[in-house]
Amino acid sequence: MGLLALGMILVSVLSADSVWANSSDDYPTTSGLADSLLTEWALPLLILGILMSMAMIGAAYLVRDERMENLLWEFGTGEAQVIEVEEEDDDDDDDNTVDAVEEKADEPEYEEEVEEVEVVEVTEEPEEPEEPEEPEELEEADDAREAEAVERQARMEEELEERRNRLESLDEKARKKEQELIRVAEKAKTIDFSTLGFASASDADDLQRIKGVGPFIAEKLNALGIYTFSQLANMTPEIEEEVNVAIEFFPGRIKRDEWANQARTLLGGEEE
Amino acid sequence: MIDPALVSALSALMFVIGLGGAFTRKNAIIVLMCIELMLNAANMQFAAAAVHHGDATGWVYTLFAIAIAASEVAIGLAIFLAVYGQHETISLDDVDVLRN
Repeated sequence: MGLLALGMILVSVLSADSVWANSSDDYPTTSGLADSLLTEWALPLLILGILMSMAMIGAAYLVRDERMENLLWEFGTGEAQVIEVEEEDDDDDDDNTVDAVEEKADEPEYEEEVEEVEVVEVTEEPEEPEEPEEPEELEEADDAREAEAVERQARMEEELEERRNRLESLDEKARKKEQELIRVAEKAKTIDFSTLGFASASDADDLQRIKGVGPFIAEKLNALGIYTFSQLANMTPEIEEEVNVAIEFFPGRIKRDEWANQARTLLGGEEE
Repeated sequence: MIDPALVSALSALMFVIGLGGAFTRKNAIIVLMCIELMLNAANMQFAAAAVHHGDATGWVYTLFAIAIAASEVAIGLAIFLAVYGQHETISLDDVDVLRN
């Protein structure tokens, strides 16, 4: 109401004939404009210029990116060396560009980490609060699952080994990619697959149907052992974070793009 | 030439729309656009007056207003980006504290 009234008043005042009474016949010219800008208005113009450059610098400062990996990438120093991997370009925009922070001492780490693997997996198993069964059965089931986990672990190790061996036969670009995949696969140990559920390549879903997943990210997820929508749908916030770190994706992107929700929707769509 | 009264009416309309939007909308970007709308309403009025009175000063004002609007938008968007990074939203009702 108030706005309407204000509008009415404005229109009536501005349209009043008296305001526009003494019109002049000579039009202002561009040279006249330039003249007054550089003489009469020179000082304000200068101040305006300073103000604008301050504003632009301020804006750039406000939106500066302080994420560690990006800083490292920019300066190319520190103990971490950064590899930018650009995979086969397709319509997906930034999914394929992965800023990865690669430790320099990359190769020697492989063997050390292998030992920790079983420990992590095995200790995690008994904590599952799933399936309320009889105690003895539960133990048996636990044993079985443990065995299964160890077996699976072994299989993963084998795959890893295979991949490493294959490295030599590949050309530069493919090798880089392969190295990255290996690195991702190694991080699979940090992820709690008892919650996610296991899957293999045979029952893989087309992960690229999820918004934010490009071909390379899908491959990384596969390397991690994530093949199906149901696995993604089972992600808890902590696991999301772990997966995010493991696939060396933009921080927090999995959460922001709501992969878990998307996967749930896709799952729902399939069942119908 | 167009009747300056018509130009005035249009710019008054623009100004009122912008003012209403700036008061009522929640999305920070829309509020920014509404402010821009108000600035442009004033610009139009200045330009019309400059031509009407045959004096380039109105144009100078317009130029200044445009430049200031540009820097204002740059700063505004930068602030929104920073706020979004912290609060994950730029709804002006939710973001009432800039401190972390």
